[in-house]
Amino acid sequence: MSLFKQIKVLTPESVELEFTLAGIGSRALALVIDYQLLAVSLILFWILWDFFTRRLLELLDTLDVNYSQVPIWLAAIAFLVTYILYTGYFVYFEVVWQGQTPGKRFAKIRVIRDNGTPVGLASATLRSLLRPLDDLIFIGAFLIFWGRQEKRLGDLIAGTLVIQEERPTVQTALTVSDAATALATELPQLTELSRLQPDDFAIVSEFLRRRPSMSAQGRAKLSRKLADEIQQILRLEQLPDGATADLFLEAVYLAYQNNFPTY
Amino acid sequence: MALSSDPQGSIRPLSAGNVVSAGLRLYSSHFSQYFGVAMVATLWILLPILLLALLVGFFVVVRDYDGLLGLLVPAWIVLLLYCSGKYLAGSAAISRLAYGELIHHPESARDANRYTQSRLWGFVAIGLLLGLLYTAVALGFYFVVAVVAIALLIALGGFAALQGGSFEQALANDPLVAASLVLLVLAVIVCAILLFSWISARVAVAELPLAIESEIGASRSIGRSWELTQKHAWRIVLILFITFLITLPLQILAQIISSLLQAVLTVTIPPDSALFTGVTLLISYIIGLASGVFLLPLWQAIKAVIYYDLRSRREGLDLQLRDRPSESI
Repeated sequence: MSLFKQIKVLTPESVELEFTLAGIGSRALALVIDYQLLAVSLILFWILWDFFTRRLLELLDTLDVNYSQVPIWLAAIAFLVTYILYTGYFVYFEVVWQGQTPGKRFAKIRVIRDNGTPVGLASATLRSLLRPLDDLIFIGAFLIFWGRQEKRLGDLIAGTLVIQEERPTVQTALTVSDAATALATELPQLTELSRLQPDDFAIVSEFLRRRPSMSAQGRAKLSRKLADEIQQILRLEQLPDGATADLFLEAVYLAYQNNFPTY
Repeated sequence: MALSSDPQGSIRPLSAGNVVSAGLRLYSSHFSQYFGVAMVATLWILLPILLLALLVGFFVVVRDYDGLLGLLVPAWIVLLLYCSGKYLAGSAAISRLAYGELIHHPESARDANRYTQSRLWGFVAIGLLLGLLYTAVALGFYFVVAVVAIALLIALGGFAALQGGSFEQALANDPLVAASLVLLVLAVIVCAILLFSWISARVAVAELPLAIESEIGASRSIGRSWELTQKHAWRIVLILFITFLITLPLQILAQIISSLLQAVLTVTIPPDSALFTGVTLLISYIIGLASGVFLLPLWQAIKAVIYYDLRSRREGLDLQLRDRPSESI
């Protein structure tokens, strides 16, 4: 069982792409954020509109004209603008930000079309127009929960998917001590680095990348364990002189990267 | 099943939304297993309440044997603690099962239950300690609010200002005074919400170490939760909040059923009778328990994912070299 649903899409160029569906948690989070922002903008609009209306009516009062029809028109316009804001918010952002709204950006998800291309004006509008229906007694939530492709009504009709955003794998430079750099140059003479598989290397580099945010105890324990295991894999009798577990792992990382630059 | 390795094959911790999705996925794919455990656990807390109802009924009808109360009350309290322990251990078993899935060591419900039930009193102790913690925090909070309120009062001129009627006048005349009063109350409420969310996040996985790790006691288990959630409290608050949102449909459904039944009752039983009150209370209690049986496994599964994710982040639980069994369950 996989915890996240995968989906394969065929692009118009007949390229098969694999995506991970957004999942109901991220979608709920995105929706809450978007609705908060929307609520704030609607409240702002109504406050401004109220201010504007009062001033206008005061002005009309002084002009001595019959304006009994004006308030109802003002109210009608206000409701229309409210509806446009509600629908337009999602359309605007999904089109301009390539399938993302502020909420979706925060939750790291994105809307795409069924064929993997960016969502356009038509599909974004359809999704947005059907949103009230999906919110009604949580139809959308149930459809997302039970559907194989996690599509709410809007997605079904607009032919869209909501996927997890592909993160560009930015390889942040690891900070490695000078001692490790020195040890890294010695390592190839001490052992056959190719005994280490790329998977092992990935674990070591991931550990080095994540260790600053680990708890001191957890980090020390894992560092010792990994160093022990790598030492065995490399068939080293003991850790090189004066090397701590962390230092050893740093050196292994550097040496491996220097010897097999593709990883 | 690969949780630690994300779809692209690289390893990384989970986002808040993904924690909830993963928990929900575990919940739906193991629903019958978790539901069974939750059902049994919930029936256990029903027992002392039923017994209490019987005892009350007995004493109301017989109006004698009052001397027995001195024996019955302590016995009932012990029973209550034991049954709560059964409930808590059952809940913890669900988290243990979910965690087992996450680390690729699935267990049977019977094994998980046997393990957690053997630590029943530990879970009771965790429950009592958390109760104490919350009480202490609430008292502390009240104290701080009281001190601030008194300080403000003194700054504004003490009780004399209140009694002289000038304050009421100011309140009535100056919108600024009323507005700042409202803001002050709002600020206190927001502070209270933030404080309790933060505390709940810090102890969110308090019972999981006891249910999963070996050689650990009740207070150490809470300590582990505190340690693991360090620097992650607000992310966990977010996770708990999203989970709450997702459970809303079910809660609203329960609410609808409850009000429907009440509407049916008003037709059959006179609404101002004692029987009506009793029956409505009973119905809402039963519906509350029933929705609890559905929701408990979801919360426990999500807590298991939170715990797994925290251990990955804080201790690199997911960073294992190939062909090496994970160190601990």
